[in-house]
Amino acid sequence: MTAAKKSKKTDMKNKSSKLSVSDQFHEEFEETPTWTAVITVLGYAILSLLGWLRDFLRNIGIENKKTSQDPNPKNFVPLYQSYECFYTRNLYTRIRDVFNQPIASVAGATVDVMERISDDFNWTFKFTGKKLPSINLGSYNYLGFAENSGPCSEQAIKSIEKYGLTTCSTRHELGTQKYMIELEDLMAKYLNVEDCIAFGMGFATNALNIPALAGKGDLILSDRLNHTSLILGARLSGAVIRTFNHNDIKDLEFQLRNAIIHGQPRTCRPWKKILIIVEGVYSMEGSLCKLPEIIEIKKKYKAYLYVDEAHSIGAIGSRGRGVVDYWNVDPDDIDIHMGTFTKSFGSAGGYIAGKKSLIDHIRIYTHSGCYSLSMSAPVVYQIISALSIIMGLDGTNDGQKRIQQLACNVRYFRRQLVDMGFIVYGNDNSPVVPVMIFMPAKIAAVNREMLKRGCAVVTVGFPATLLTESRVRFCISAGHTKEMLDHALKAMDEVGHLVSLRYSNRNHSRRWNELNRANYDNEYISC
Amino acid sequence: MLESVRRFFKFIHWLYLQYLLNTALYMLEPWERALFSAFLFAIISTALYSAFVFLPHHVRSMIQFYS
Repeated sequence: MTAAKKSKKTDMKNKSSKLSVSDQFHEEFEETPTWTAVITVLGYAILSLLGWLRDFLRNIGIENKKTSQDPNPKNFVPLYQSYECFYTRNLYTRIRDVFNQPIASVAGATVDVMERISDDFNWTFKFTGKKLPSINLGSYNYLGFAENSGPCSEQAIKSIEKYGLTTCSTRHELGTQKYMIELEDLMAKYLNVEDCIAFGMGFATNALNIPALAGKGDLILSDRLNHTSLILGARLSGAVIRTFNHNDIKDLEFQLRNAIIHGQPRTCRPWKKILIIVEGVYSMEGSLCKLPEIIEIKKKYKAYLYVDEAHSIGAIGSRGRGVVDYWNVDPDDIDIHMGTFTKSFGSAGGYIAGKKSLIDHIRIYTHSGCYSLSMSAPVVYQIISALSIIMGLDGTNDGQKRIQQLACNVRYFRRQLVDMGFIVYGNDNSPVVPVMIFMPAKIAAVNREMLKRGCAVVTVGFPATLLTESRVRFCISAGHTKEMLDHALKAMDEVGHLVSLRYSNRNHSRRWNELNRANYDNEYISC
Repeated sequence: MLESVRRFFKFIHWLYLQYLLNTALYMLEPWERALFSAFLFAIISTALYSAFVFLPHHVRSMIQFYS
């Protein structure tokens, strides 16, 4: 009844020598069990009915309206179409205390979450003043560089003393500091490409640079589960956007063939260019893109490839160089490498890398070159010092140790979760571990119970995911020790029993005590 | 003896929590929980009462009809 979509790596005759990890590519997306889907929909139905009842009571005046009211006078048209929509009022606000939780310390491997209580069912909050120290399983701190002591932060502090905080200028004017050139050179060397350019904001890197690369008369083929920044950039560019099913090479090929055969929609003229946009690691699913097959297709149909390695740079691959390193492909095959400094480097910003001619074009035509501020000195120095540690330029092998620690942690954590009977999406090697929850009330229950047991997790529901596919997303870090992971697994085991999260039909549901932990410990020590 | 009584109460509490979570009552205010539970109780008790009163007669007449 429940089919498993297991995608194994297919062997390609002329590239089999390059795919050294082909046997380790294992991705699973177990289908939702039928009863779970029925109960989830029923739960939403009950919530909607009661939401309508509450809205009715609010409208006739029995209950006072606590949402923000339209301040314009009565005979003006409303400023927003649905002033605070139904979902926000009736579903989101009821469990609002598990989202946007304020923290009171550096968000490293552990974090202090501020405790809040609410007297009127989450419409207003009060801080009790108490701080809850918890294991941080929600920050994208993959290599553990988000710390307030150590060589990176010392360099950042020294750079403030030397360069101040801001250049007060855009890149085109007086904003290109010496450290920007240093960063771009270092990043180009790291990625093994010709040139690189860095921007101040990761989201803006996508949103403002895709318009410089594509325009009217072009076709953009983007994966269905691409990030909002890619979708926004594609829409802003004015090109025609078509989506293909997630990681589905056959669908991509079908769309490409269709596009080339039929041409532009009305005029049937050939497309000026076709740009395929994929991500390295998809942050909500934990899946990796199938890069070698996409490159083969792109070369066959002569399209361009844009890879967004926001979550994979530094975290995937034997040397931490992203999906390019993981699949061992030639970096020149990918036309536009893009990534962010927010996740693995513990800083802020984004970059685009590739051939020198491409980067020269982007330097002139990007919107952020003349409209947004250049990066601040401590931010850049954090990246430079993190990069030198990862590349081993500071003389130690701390970087390689961190990368290996992350890989060990990910493997250890994922295998135990899967063996316990939870539905875990995604690739075995991705540091993003989404565990499915499905039902709306359980989103709040899991978050609160995990916080009670000392783990700060991120639970996501609609609109970040589909309505019936809410999940808890763990982000493993190289800063997590084995004791922290054990504590988190024990907590997840208890919470899983309390809230009954063990949905998997493929793996028998087991308690943590029943697992043969000697196996996992041996594997952890040996890797 | 006391341990097994405690475990029984824990089990009942766990069942109650499952009811609250699966019907999404966990996120509702207490009066909404009372309203929905009363509604559900009314429906189920009506169904059970009807079954209790009418089923024997229905079954007997069905057997008579088919024999």
